[in-house]
Amino acid sequence: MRFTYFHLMPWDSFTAKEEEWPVKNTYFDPVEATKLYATYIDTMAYAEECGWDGIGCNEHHFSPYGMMNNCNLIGAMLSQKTTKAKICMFGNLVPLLNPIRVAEEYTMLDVLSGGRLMTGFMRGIPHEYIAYNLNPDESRARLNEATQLIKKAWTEPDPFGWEGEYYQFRSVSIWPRPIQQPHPPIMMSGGNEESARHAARNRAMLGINFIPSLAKGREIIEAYLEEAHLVGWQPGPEHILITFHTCIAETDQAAIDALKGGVAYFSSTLMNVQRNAQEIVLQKTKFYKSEKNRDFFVERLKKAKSRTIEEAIHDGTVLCGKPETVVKQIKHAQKELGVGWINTNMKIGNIPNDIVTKGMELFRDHVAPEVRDIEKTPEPVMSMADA
Amino acid sequence: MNFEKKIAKLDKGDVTYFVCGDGPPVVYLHGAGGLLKSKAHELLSAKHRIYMPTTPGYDGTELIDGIDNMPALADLTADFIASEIGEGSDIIGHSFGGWLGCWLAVNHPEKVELLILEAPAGFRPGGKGGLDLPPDELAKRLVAYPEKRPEDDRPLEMITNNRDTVRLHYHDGMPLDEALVARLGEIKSSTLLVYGTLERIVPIETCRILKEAIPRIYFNYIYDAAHTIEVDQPERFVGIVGDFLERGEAFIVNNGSGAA
Repeated sequence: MRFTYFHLMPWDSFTAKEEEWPVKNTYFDPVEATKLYATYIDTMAYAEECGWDGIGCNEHHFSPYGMMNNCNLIGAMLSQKTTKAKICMFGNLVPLLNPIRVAEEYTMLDVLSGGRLMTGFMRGIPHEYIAYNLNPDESRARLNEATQLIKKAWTEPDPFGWEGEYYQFRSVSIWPRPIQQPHPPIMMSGGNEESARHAARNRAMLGINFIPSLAKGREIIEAYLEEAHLVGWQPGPEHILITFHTCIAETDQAAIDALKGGVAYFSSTLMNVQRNAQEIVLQKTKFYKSEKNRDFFVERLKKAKSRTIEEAIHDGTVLCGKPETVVKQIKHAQKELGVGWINTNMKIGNIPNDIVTKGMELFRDHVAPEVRDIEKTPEPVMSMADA
Repeated sequence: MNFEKKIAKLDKGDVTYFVCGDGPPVVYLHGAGGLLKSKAHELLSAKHRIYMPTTPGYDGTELIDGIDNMPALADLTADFIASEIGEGSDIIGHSFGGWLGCWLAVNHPEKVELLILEAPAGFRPGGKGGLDLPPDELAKRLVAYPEKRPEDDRPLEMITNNRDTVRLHYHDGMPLDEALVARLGEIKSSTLLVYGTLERIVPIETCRILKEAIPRIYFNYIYDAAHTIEVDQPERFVGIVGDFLERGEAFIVNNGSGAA
């Protein structure tokens, strides 16, 4: 079993009652943010000391939801502050970006880290398309094309050009090229079955976020496995990662109390500021090809907001409690889903940083030793056929 | 499309060809299936005069005595250019035609201005790829989007005969033309090599060989296209080929057409 430590880098002291996105930036205190960045980066680097196998970042824009507009900058710092942990970029939002730039920055991270990069090729959440002024209808097609282009940029030995629907480059030969051959592992989002099938067709790892139930998680994974079979490959547990809100404390009640506070802030403040923009994109565009997937996305958000922590624990969709409890929850999730990777999000909303750090130490001392070997997860190496 | 059918009366024999458009000349050398006039040719003809000779023996035409190998066919093509165009011409060669275009550029450099190779045959080390496939599989590999295939008044038997019999008259199914590979370095023309991201007839090793050997070559992927790029993605094909024809090697510089 392998674990990644994810950090959203939220602004954790936002008090304004805003509902509009983007959020006006007079609320942003740069001096306070300098301290916050330092704390968060130290915490992320500390995850390696506490036994996590990878440290995860992602990309968001224009709100207190997350302060990593370019998560590769944070990845670069982590590459120098750590020596063993994988540097996991759980988004670049590839359709929003210049794919050659993504290829270059990811390759820099792979080289800077000595071959520890795990890449994310994410489509992003709907309102991010307003930030960079791109048509959400094009998001899936852009992701498809950019993915192929980036793989070529990583693997082509000679300069090449690209004449595509969205991207045209006449002469590409990126320096540096990746240490991991033929290229670093790629993860794609498995927010629904459509996304999971897309990941399988691209022979990518599957990353599932915040499932509403283990049963739904299983459906998504089954779609991924089925599609992979159709296109001629067989993913193992090492290709599947699932993210859980995670809170570990000395007692179950202490963990529940901390998580309740964090989730309340996350839902009512961080998520709230983007709700309007999100709804506009969902209602007025074809970000989701099918109504079923759009409805699932909306339902998942609603459920995340309305469900109590106790219900989420019961459903197996969060990891929360004293170490012995969390060990049981991890074993249960692994048994139900067959995943090789669990991605823990511990700085949820405004959970105080000392509680987060204490939880990491409890993980190191009491959780990791009990669950590390329940599944022998090998490295998710990409074969030449994947390129 | 308004292609005019003509016959070039050459010393070695007659060559049927089609011509369309106005502007600088471009000779299009067809693939092993024969001459399929497509939307791409129509688009190119807006700025160029497109000459499309039919290789003797193809599409119901007669073979010519003594023209039974690729260098000899290149000699005949040079005669065609001299007779119908006069000076040199830009060349586009698809598959079999790309192979022929390389021989033309090696043996008759004065007849070749810019050279454009569209998934050229003749450079398949170890016999990778090729046309020897069941008909259904071959069809999938030739064109990814069959609904884009233009109307073709040639009978199916004629196309099959082109591919199965006539092409062998010129190269006997040789996968790798080693004599030509040894001389690719002599190609003086600026060369554009285009290759579909869905290509499965010509292996990627072909591109490696050409990229290594031809001194001034540009290699471009055409996204979402199989072997017959001009059918699968005519606008993309003409976008890059047209730009190369217009600006030569300066085509690598964005002139406002909009990169990513």
